Amino acid sequence: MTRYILIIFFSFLVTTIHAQVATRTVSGKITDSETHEAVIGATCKVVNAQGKILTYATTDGTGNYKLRITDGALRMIVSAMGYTEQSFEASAIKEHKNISLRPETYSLKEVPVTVNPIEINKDTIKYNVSAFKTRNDKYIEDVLRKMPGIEVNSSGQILYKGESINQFNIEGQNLLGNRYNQATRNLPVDAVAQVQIVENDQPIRALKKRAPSKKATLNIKLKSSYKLRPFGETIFGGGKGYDKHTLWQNKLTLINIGRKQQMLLNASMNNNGMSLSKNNTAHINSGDLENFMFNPFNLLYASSAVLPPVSEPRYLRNKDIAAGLNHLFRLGKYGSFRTNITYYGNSVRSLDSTSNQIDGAYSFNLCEANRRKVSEHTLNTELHYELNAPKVYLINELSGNISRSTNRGELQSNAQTLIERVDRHPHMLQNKLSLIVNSGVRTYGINSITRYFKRNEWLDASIGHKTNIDLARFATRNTVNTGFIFLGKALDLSYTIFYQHDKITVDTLQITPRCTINSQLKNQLNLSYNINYRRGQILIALPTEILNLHIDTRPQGSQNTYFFLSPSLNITHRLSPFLNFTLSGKLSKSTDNYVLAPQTYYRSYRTRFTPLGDIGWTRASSLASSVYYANLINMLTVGFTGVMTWSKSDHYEQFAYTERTTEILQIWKDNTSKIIYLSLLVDKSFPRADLQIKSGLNFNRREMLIAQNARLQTIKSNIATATLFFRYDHLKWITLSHDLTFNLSWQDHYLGSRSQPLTSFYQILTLNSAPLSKMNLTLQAEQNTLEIENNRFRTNIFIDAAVQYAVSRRLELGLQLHNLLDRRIYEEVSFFGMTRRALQLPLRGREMMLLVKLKL
Amino acid sequence: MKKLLFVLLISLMAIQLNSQNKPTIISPGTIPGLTLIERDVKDTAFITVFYKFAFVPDSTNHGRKNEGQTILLMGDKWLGFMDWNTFQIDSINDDFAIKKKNPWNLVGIIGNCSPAYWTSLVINKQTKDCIIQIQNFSKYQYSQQLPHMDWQLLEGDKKEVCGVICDKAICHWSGRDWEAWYSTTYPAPYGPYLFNGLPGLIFALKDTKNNFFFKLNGLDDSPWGRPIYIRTDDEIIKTTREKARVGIENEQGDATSALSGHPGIIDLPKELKGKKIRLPYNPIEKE
Repeated sequence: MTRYILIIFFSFLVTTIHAQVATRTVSGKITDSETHEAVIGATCKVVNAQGKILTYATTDGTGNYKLRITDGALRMIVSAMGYTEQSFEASAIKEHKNISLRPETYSLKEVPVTVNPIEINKDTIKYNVSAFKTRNDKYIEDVLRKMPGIEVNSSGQILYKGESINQFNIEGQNLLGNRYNQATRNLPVDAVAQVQIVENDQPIRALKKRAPSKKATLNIKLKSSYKLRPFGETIFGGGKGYDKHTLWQNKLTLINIGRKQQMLLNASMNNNGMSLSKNNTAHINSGDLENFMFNPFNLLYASSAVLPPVSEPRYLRNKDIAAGLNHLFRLGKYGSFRTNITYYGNSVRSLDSTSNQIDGAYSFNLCEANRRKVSEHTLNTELHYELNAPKVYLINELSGNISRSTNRGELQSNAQTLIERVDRHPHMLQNKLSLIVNSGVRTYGINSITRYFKRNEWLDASIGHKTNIDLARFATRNTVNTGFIFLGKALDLSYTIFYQHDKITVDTLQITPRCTINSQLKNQLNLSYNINYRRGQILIALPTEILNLHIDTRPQGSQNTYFFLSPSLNITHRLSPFLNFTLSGKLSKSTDNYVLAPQTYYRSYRTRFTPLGDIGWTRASSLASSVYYANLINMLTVGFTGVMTWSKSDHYEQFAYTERTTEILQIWKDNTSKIIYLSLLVDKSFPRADLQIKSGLNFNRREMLIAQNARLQTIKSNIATATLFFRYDHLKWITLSHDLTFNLSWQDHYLGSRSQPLTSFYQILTLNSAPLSKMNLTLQAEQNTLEIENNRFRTNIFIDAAVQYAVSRRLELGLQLHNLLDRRIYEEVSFFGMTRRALQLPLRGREMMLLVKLKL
Repeated sequence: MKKLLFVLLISLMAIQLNSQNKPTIISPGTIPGLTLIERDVKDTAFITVFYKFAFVPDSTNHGRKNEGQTILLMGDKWLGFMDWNTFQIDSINDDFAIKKKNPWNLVGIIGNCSPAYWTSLVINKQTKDCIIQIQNFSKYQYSQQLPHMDWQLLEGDKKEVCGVICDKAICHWSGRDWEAWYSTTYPAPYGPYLFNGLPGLIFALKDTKNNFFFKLNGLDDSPWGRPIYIRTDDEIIKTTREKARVGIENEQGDATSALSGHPGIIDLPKELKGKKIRLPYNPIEKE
């Protein structure tokens, strides 16, 4: 009985105790038992009989906690990392409870670290093409233009962060060398999965980790369905154009990318004004000029070569053909052999008329009406072997080209009618060798380029002026470079030896042909010193040259050896996270880069040129500065740039215009010229409204000596330009942009000046729309208003439209309409020096073309 | 892309490489020495928690995920959270600088371990002040208080993560719903990023729409300690949280303007005038 009473009593007691743990709040402070400092982040949790957490709290910055103890609570457990856990009966806890925790001496129970080992991961940025592609994009070049950091200029050259790319690869192979326009303008964007940019990529394995590169390599990754099988497309198009002329446009592209071989074939032809001359362009890497040699300038010129500021499809009456066959074969793990053959041919008919008012001590008017036919054919071949192994890098490239061009014009020049023909036949053979050996401790390299160039130029004017010029040039350039530490900073050294030999024969068919042989040997030592500091860097360069000239026409005993320096300084400084400043200056001295002809000759039907007989020199100095502010919180950027250039030359050209001829005589006399360029750009975006506004102000002033018609005059000409651009694309299915440009040009007044300020205004309004999923519409309106005389303006308005409709995945139809308002004449007036020129050019008129595109 | 650009730019400036355009043939030992990274060291961490990290940059395209490795550094007074590769590169750089080692080796290391997580932060445990740095096209820094998170502990659900049995909790924070797995065996109310307030260390965390993932893949008790620090470069834009978020959103919304805001790096052509490059914007904090 007593036992039962005790059981009942204790049960009641337990029940009472439980009943007494009603919801209440406890608080207190938790400290370290040894240091008595607050324990921050300790956990106090209240658990029930099953161990379930009912409530919990953590200590604050002062070690204090506040915790609710609810019904059902059994224990309060206090724990912290590095301390022994403590547990208390919930019912025994008073309202205020300070707790002292004892530091733990045992090791924390570790979790095995399974961090991925450092992976070999190049600086590869992968762009998924689908993220950038829009319906208007046809070829990979269209998408490349949109990718951040990538710029594609008008000739198709790809730049990354302002530097030309190292290589253009397709699936890791360099199929096209530097003629990658054939891919960028013909590779369908639908075939490309990714565009990879490998930043700071050193493509030469022997130089990896030895010579970093600021440039990037671009690699095209195809979609898997396009690999290991040929693919491509073909386009057929026809229409009607100016004077009921039949238009045509055809194209074929075939590509096969395999593991061991790659092939790209393309062929295009059109007569709709789209020049194909840049399809096979060999791009020049501006940071690697020691591996390039330029052709000498032409010595004969067909008259009235006109380049108006209107796009070529508006006026060019052409027949263009371009073709390219490219094949690459892999040899083992590190080698490859590549063959590239390209052809370009064109035939252009042009009609233009110019009226030149040429002032000086006397005035002369020259009026020309020109009906011209120009044709050109160029064949290029390259054979390229490459071994790119970890210890050895070797390339040898043998290349050659043959070209033939004819420019035949029927001219009305003032009172006379004549036919002028200029033929040009250049050809070239070149070998480039580059060898780098990585011995482990040091790296050794040799670069060599050797070229033989030959060109025949022939002028035949029906009024009896004839010239035949034969030029043969041999040149070779060889470079080595290395680096040292000087005063704790990097000092770069390079040594270049350059040799050039020219043989030129000029035959005017009136006197005995004359031949001259000139050569130059240049030794250049270049030192550059780079100082990096916290907020910027300073780069000092000091190229030193010893030039030895052999000029046939020089008298014996003349000075033939020259020594000169061309120092430069470049400072970049970061004033704040928003504001940057640059300053640069340079002094240089150089010879003029023209071919020395041995005698007077006719350069065009009326221009007779008398050369200096010796090489001229120019000294130049320049100073440039820029300040750039960019705040992306309020989306405002402001940039200011100023450039000044002074140059002093030891000769100038004197022009004398008569009824029958233009005499150009090179005169030995010092003269100076100056150029000033100022630019202010402001860019403001309103992201919520999807509106962007860009504006700019530019000023350009040029002072130069003009010797014309027995008068010597320094002409100071000025151009001021204001630009404004709006873009609005708040609605997903429509984009609107508006581009406006205003120009004012004038010359400072001089005695007898007849020049007057001229204004011009341009605007382009573009509307892109995708009203249906398979359809794209583009509408563009272009207006230019040019002042051709004081307060007399000429306005041209062009309206173009295009529609594309995707019938199926493989078939697409297109309709293009150009110049809907049927503008027929372009007129322009400009001033250059003491000459006023008025130009009139016929345009192509209204055109319509239907296109069918079939994907293979 | 933009992240790699800044890491490489900063790293290359730190090791003062020659900036000539043409590839210069240079032998080892001829490059100027390394300099110490500019940083403000707050504390020393003797416990490091490793979190594998993944996120979806474009919430409309879950096919593409970026992955990386982050660390939570736990000191007596401060916490730090940052990218593990960034921490390693900084550590190696300073080690090489002090020992005057050949900087060429660092070039190879930078090339081999690129950061993937571009936020670094430190938390003062006592005051709950947080300093957060985010590297986008620009580098932003702002301060805020450690946010309070209203966790709901879910009974019954248990999961093993890294051999440790964990409990589940959920909460709604900064515009997202979060799901966390925590272990009371490790009584630290902390986790990746700013996540805090659970009665145990967070072992795994993700948002319910599968944009952000953190998973513990290591925990060590390092006797030598690791520094908890924040960078102090001059390029850092010190601003408010709101302005930093606006700046980053603007950069992503108009990458061409963001890139043109960095002189000497990009000179945008006329052809881009009609184009606006939008990059995806999917921040961990939506509000």
